[in-house]
Amino acid sequence: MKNQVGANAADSGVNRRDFLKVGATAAAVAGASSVGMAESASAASYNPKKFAGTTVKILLVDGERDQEGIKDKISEIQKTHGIKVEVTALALGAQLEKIQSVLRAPTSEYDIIDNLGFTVSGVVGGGLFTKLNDYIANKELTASNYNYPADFPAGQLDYTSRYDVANNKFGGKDVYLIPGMHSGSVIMFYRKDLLAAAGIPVPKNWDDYIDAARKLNSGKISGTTMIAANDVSLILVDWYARFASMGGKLMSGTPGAKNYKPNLTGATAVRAVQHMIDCAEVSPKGVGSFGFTESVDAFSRGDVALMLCWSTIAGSAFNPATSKVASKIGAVQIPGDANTSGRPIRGGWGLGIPKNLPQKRKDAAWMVMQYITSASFDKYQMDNYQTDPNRRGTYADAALNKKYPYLKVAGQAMENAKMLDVALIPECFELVGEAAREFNLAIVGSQTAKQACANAQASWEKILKRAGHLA
Amino acid sequence: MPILTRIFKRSISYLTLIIIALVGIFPIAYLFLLSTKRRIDIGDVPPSLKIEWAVVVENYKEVLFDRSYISSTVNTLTITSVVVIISLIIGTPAAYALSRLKIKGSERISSTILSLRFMPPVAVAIPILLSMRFLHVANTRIGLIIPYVAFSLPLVIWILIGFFDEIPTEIDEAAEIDGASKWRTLMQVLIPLVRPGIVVAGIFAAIFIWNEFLVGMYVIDSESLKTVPIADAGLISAQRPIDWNVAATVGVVTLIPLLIGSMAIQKHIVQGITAGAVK
Amino acid sequence: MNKISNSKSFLLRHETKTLIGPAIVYLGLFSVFPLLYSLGISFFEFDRVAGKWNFLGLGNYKEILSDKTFWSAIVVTAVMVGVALIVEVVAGVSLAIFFGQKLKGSKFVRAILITPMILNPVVVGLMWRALLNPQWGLFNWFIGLIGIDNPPIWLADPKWTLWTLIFVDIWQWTPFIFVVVFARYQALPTDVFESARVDGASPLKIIRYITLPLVSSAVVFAAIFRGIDSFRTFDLVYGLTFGGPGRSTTTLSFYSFENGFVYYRYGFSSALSYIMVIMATIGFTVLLKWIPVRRTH
Repeated sequence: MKNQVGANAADSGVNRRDFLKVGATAAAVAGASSVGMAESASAASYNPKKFAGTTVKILLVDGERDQEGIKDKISEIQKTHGIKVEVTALALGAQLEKIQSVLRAPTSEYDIIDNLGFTVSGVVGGGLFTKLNDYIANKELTASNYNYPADFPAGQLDYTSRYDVANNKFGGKDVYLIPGMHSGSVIMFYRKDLLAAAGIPVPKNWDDYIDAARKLNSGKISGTTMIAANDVSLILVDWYARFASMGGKLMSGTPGAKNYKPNLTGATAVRAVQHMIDCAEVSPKGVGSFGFTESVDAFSRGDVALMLCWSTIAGSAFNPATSKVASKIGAVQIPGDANTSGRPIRGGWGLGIPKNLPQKRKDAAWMVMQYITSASFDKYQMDNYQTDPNRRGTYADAALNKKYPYLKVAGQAMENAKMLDVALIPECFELVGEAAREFNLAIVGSQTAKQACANAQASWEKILKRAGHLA
Repeated sequence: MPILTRIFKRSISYLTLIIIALVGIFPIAYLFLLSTKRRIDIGDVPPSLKIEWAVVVENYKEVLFDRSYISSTVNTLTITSVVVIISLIIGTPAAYALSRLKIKGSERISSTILSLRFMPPVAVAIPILLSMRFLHVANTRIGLIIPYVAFSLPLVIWILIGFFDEIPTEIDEAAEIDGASKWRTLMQVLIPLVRPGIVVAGIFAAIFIWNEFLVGMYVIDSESLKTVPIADAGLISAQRPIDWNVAATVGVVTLIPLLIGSMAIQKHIVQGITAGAVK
Repeated sequence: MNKISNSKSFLLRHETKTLIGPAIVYLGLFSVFPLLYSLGISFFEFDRVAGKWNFLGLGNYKEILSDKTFWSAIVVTAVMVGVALIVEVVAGVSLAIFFGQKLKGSKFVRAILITPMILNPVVVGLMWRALLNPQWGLFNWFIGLIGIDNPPIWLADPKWTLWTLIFVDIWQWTPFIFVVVFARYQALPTDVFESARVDGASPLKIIRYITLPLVSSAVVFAAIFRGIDSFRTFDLVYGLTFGGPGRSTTTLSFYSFENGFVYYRYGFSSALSYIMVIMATIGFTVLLKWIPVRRTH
């Protein structure tokens, strides 16, 4: 126990005596009679009120309903923890900029920050977040039923939780974030009625997918729809689902070794683009202008038979208030290939505690973070706001699955999901954007799949060389 | 002109007027119609003209209260009014000086002021954010007012220079002979004459500030201080479908007060202009 | 000389400065600083992981000049701004002249006409995205009524997207030109028109030789302002096409925005903005020599 305390203090740059003093004050405030941190740590019973009287400020992203569950529970947290919670939700661009400035200030304005998976390598890799291992192991600060890491999908832990700062890779032993407020992967939605009527089984590989789409494409029904607009979601949702599931390997080498080479001209990449071009022919007219909204709308209106999409929209697709086909659809894993099962993209966010905070604020932040990543809160948020859960237990929950029959499928997707390789470098937005531009041109017919891949490859190599990841 | 030709020409004019009116009113009508629909009905083309009042109440409630458009409209109104008033107070004397007083290099000064407007907002958004943080007014209304006045001044000064240019110099000379200082000339003689210009400058400044969002998005964090354009950003999200009906409701809610206001001001402009046109 | 008249004559002597001073000081503090700052960072680039700025010298500028998207953006911007401006001016002036007639209800129509330019940019973008939707957009339904049955995909067909944007821009900003020109038109003394009519001049001749010259300063003013604004804004591109398909609707201002706020290449984005400012300044100076912008006494 004593070693743990020492390790914690060293990590936060506070000397041990100060740390003991802070611990003593907190204990006194909490009404405990013990004197030093060392002693209360060995008491080993979860004490949610340990940091009562503090305020914890959380920074989230707006537009995903992440803040709703927390806002509902502010008064409860006040009661159980004695901590006042304030939530700020900003539009994505503003949130990312705010995070940069907040993390580099002498003291962070926010105690808990939600980080987009694509930014993790930058902010966590930059050493700007507090290591959480000791908090998790500390029985007084962490409830015994917190169940980290077992209750989280293994792949997600190696994306928005654990990071190897020294070697600049995802995974490892050091925990810097806890998955939250929502995760998400891509699943396949299909019209049970249309497939049954045509006697077509649910496609399990990509050849069957395009076959089924072609057979079902008649009259008012389109075989499939896609996000084919000039938008990063083209890559994230539709192209990567195909590419990764066809066994494609996006990058070779590592940024550090300056040999981080893209593999967009390989056969798999071209095949994935060609598959999208083929799908476009059996998609609603104008699919080349379809963003996320238009694609989901077309499916929810009943005009489409098959669709790949974020599991998040399952909430609205299965809801009769927002979908005309709510009772006629099913959800399964995305198709795979002959030897590979479907591997959709791994999406998600991770909550972390900035390093530039006094110890007491970090401790109080951990109490709140634990609450909003707990199993019971995860279920509450999912049930009320249909955001994608973070925990296996939520995905498997019987009561929730009765209400939301797609949950098990979404949970399975989270287990199979594959992280986008280039999330490792800060230029990933630029790369994904450039690829989306080229592939969109192929889908609208301005270039062939091969040309699109060649152009994207050239563009990526230029960016990687400029950034110094490729010699 | 023979009566028939006159009637014919009048009819063409009125027909044109009606066509123009239809083109002009269609966005309002379309937004209004969409704002009465549920999300699920969005695919109906053309949208049915039946209006379900329960849906209307729900959409407007969401926009006005859940998305706090009442508070963001009040914020925008306050900030815009303050910005316009300050810009006019600083800009009118400057325009007067540049237009009518012999200042060395006044052409160059006024061109430079106009060229300040060349700068894309993209380039200045971050430096402005940093300066507001430096002055400790980030995330406050003042943090928006300060840069917005800077944005409006070139426009206001240029419009007013145009109006001041129209006034014959004899008026200044007469006032000078009477022994009036330049400030008195401005305040008592010239301002009444350029009143329509002041109104026009104020209106245009307001229009551009009303819709500013790039700087606002970065300066303002708090829900309660958001202006309407910043609140609009919440309509678009990468992971949830756009609620077209809510967006349309936002359009109506933000448009109606402006239309009412502009109709009221129209009368004022006409009065001002006809008063000033007496030569 | 007592103190009061000292200060009074001081004020009188420096009256000009007090008139123009506040504006200059304000602009110097709050306009010039951001401009200089962004000029400064155009010679650097921000390393997001290390959290520091690296000096690049002219690196950003060199990269821009060899970037083919930059050169295509110049063409796209020129076409978008140029075509839209010309049509807006012609339409705006025509509307102003049209509304010169005394028609009942024209005040109401005029008030409604300004709607496009006062709608919030997000709402305008979403509204047109809805109207131009290939499946349920009212625009295609409407032109279907008059017989056009297989319309192009307005927002995805590379041959049409630029023209779609120009169309929406014209819809949105013609009212601006109209309002400015009409305000001037209404302020014109009526006797000139009366005497011309009495002399028997045809309406077209009146427009050509009397109306247009008299409102020309307003037209020039409106055109310059609209030109500058359309040069530096990107709302419609952002809302409708995001610069695509490919780079067919990527204007300079959008490209600068994309690099700065989507890719976080602040230095590169500032350098782009500065090249834009230089281009605009050169263009404006050339313009001043050809067209009298201000009516001199």
